[in-house]
Amino acid sequence: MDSEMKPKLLRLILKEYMPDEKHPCSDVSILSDVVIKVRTHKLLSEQPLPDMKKDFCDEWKLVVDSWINRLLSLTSSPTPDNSWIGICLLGLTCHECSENRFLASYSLWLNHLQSRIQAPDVPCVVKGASCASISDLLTRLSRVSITKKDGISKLTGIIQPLLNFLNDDVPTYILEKALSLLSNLIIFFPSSVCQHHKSVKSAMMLKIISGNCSDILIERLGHALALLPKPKGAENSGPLLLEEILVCLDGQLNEAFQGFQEEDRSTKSLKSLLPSDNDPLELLGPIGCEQSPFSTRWPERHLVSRVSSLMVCCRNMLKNITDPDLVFGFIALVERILTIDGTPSLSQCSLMTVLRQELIFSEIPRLQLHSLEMLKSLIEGLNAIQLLQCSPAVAKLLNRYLMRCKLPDQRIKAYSTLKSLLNSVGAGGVHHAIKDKIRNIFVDLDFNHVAGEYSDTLKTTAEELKSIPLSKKRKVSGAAEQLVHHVFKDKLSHHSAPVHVKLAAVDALEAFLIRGGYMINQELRRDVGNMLIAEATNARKAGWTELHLASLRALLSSFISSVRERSLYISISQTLREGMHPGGTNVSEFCRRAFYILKLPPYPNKRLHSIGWEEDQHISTAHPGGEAQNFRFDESVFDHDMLDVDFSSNDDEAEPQENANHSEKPSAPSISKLQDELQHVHTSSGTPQYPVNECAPNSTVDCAVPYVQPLDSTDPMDKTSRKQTGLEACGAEGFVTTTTSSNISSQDANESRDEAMDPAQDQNDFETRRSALVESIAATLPDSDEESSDDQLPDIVDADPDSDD
Amino acid sequence: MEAEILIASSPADGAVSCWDLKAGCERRRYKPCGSPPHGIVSVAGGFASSQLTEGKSSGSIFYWSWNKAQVEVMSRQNEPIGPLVSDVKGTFIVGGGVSGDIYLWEVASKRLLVKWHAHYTAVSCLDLYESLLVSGSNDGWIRVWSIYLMLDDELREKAKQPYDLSFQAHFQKVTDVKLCFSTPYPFIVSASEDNMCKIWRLATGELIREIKLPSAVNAISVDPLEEVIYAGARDGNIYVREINATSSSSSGHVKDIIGSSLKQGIGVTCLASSYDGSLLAFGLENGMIRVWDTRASKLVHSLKHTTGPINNVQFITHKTPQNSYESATAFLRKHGSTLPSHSITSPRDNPRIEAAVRLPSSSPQPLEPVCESLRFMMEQIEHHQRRDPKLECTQGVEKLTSSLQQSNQMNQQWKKINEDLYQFCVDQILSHSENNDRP
Repeated sequence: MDSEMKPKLLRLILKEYMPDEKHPCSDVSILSDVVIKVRTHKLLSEQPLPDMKKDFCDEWKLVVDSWINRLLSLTSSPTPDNSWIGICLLGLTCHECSENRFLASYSLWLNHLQSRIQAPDVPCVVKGASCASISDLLTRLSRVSITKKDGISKLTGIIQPLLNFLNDDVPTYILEKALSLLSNLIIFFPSSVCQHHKSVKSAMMLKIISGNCSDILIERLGHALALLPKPKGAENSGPLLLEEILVCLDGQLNEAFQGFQEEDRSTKSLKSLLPSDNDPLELLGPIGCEQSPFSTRWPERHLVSRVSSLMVCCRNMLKNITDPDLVFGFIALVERILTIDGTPSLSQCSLMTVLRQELIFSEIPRLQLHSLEMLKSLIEGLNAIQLLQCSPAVAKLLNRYLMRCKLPDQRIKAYSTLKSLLNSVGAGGVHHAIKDKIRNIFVDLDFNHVAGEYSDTLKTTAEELKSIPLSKKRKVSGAAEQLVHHVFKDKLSHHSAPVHVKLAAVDALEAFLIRGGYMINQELRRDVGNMLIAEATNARKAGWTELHLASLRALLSSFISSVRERSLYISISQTLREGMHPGGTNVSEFCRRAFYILKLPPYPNKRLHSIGWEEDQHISTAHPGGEAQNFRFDESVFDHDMLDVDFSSNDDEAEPQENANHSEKPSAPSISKLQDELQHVHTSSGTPQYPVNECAPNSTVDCAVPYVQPLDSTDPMDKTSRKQTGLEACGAEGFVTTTTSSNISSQDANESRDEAMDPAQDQNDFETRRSALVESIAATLPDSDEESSDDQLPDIVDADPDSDD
Repeated sequence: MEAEILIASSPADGAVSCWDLKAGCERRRYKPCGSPPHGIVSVAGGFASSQLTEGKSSGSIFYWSWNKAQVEVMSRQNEPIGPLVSDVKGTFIVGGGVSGDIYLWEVASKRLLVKWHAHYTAVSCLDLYESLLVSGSNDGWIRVWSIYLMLDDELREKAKQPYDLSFQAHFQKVTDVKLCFSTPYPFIVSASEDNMCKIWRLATGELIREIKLPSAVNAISVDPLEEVIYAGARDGNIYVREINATSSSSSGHVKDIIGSSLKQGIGVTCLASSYDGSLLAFGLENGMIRVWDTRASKLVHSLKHTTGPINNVQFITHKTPQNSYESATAFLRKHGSTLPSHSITSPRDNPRIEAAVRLPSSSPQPLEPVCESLRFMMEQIEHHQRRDPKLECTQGVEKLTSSLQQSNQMNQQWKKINEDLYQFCVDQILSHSENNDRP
């Protein structure tokens, strides 16, 4: 858009779309158009192009002036709709206007907005809009690099109205904006909150404890409270506040679980973690006393929301605090919630009313679910060392919980928390986390093949059906399969864990297999493999696609992380083949891919490698030659010209200039590079030769020592190959010799695969081609290398790739 | 912005030099640093180095922040610490002492979290993958430790041995050890002064490969794909060995390729691969550092550090601070400084010390950096749109109608009551007058 059009467009917007006192806004949706136009064309930016006329600049400035005047008049309008529109657009202006204008006017704008928050008889919506706009103003202000910021001292004035919001019964969306503003104040201008630190903290804590906050509000409160420790300035204020919250949480649980749990047992664990000189009641101060109105009357009513709000706070704060004691404190509280099972302790049984028992009992599952969720998000938020410190405690807690808990939703959540833990602790920790307890933890999985018995019943049902006379069979044949299916599904779901619990268990088990699968012993691996095969088979028969897929995935992870056993391989292949039908589903696609991954190719060479280390050693003779490629590069050949950047300007280590013409490339680790270089050296006579020719005699001798002398016992492949290439005999040749043989050998390797398919046919052809190649290479070698070339020829001929049989 | 920089140290001048290979300049020299081999490690916001001072029986670990040249003492121990290793994000450091003890510190709080006796002789090299630690010692032993286990007293007491794996790998000092975890069957590569490189299966500790070299190996490096080992030897060569011939057929099955170092007789003292494996840096005994491009197969940099032997080279990914948001927050500058404080505090004296080295994740962020007023406005517009005027009208009419009906009913009732009352009164009056008429 032409820049000169911008003032005109803004003027048009002012005239046509913007409300004023006489013409209140009839349709607010038109405002979104205004916002889009202002933002897209940057109508408030006042950034003229260099070649613009001064008149135009003045005009633009005037229009923006009138825009702001209109907004300010709207802001103080008695009509609520006009007022909030003006305030919101002023917030937008804070973002969009030029820096000069912002610096010149922000103080005035802040006054206007502040007055709207502080005035008592202003509607809520206007106050909410004012909070949002001040947030924007502060964000912009924090980006401006000026030393003195006017009006900031007045910001303390808005803290109290904001706290009143927290105490009063205002709508959530207003409260949300107020908390955002409070967070921004803490982040950008902490000094303004400093003197109100205590009251801010109390107000937020009270709001949390009140237990009637929405989820989003709890998140905001947690975030703001987690930011709060900083303004106080005291070094230990951070942990102290968190301690307060932990103690408060503990107090809530004490009241709620009175009679269900030995109080001193759990508090002891928390107290041992927190500093002994802090009395919980002192810590809580006014909050401890004020919480009583909520707690004395039906503490269990808002138990879950109160506890969960506090937990959100703790979790948010723990991410910024490195003190492991506090993390342990949090875990101790989670443990307390998870260990409670809803049976009142005998000593206090009589003190409880039936109603209270029922209320607590009904709340416990929700509470446990929430604590597991918090534990999971804590695990995902901690850094490596914090996690390593607390993960053994979490693992023990989860292990115990999984062995005891019977509710399906809780089990699912516990499995998913366990999965997060296993993924987070990684190699080294996974194995110790659930060592020896796999069968106990994953009780939902069919380790004992109980479901196998149902397969037998299924078989008998099918056989019974078969025994029905043919005439009757026709009638029932349509229903027969369905019947079998239903019988199986019913029996399976009746006697084993629900499918979603199994799914969660398989997912967690897969995490274990991926991260720590290499450590489990052969016997357990076999059991896990068989169990997963059984689960996959049952899931397929019952039509549980997700479980089927998950079991197959875990099965694949288990199998590839091990030295592959033939018997298990056959069973897995069978399971995968079964899963391929019917086609077109996710399961069949996965099975096909997994089958391709596992399927061993018919070529002997590949077969050796795909099996793994052990087998590789046994049948190593399949590797054709190409061993011990020696190749060296002399410092004298090194040329500084080839450095991209030379930092060694003060480098007094003079490189020998006489060898500057030998600016060959130094050694390469890759075969292809070696081949290229050799081709280059051998085909272009007269060009600088490969280092071998330039090497000092002594270095040649040095190079001639076989660099790799693998032990017979450990690397028979090397030994065999050395024999094949005659390397042991060729003692003092240069490295070109062996490198050449390497080229040929690698080519041979490729060709030998084809021969494996049709060995007889190409044998003679191959020999001929190879001899021709060797001759051609020998012919290109310079005269000085004749000796070594002669030595080399028989080696190459000897390096028969097919000599392994 | 992330930049990979190369750092190198030498006992000859007691300094750590630091090069930005992309920008092509030496950034800074950090002094004094008497770091032993494998003694430099990247931690949050800088690097740490163990210190060996001749004639001193105590040891310390120094910390340098990228932002300033001054050194800070991270920890002091009763014995000199040799090799150091840290986790990927630099949240903790593990160090091996000359007595054979292994120490684990938390970086943020500088606390020594755990210390255990690992070997009978000095720990010579360490490597870490997630929470799995492998250590090599001067007497040729290799042991594998789980940090998870070491940090939990209860588990450690229950375990038969404190280590996961222990075996004598070499007959002389283990000079370098690497954990390779990219395959489902992880393995360890070790190098020693006995001219051997060995590959061990991690799960069982059995020997898979043995590579004999003509010279003692000072350092090894494994490329990120874990297909090639580079072994820097004292004879001045770098030996390149393909670990497993299962790699693609295009490279054939050549088992051993030997690359080169430079001048004959100038031993390679240390090796390091860049994060993506494209560069291999190696330090020499003559104080030079060479950087080799492994893909283009050429030397790309020759850097001079000093005239003495280089004992550490390392690529470190350095995150340059982004000014966009961070500079906006005065709060961060005041309270959440990324610089470590200068105070040297004994961890045991004040265990509740605040984090001195803050990790990047711990900086407070506003929930939404978007325009709040705009969001509020859109919510209000949506709210208004949801209030359909037609519906409101019909609802209003319905309400009015129902209230009209109610008042009509009431009216009727009142009317009836009034009539009844009137009737009653009339009846009363009439009956009264009748009674009066009958004397």
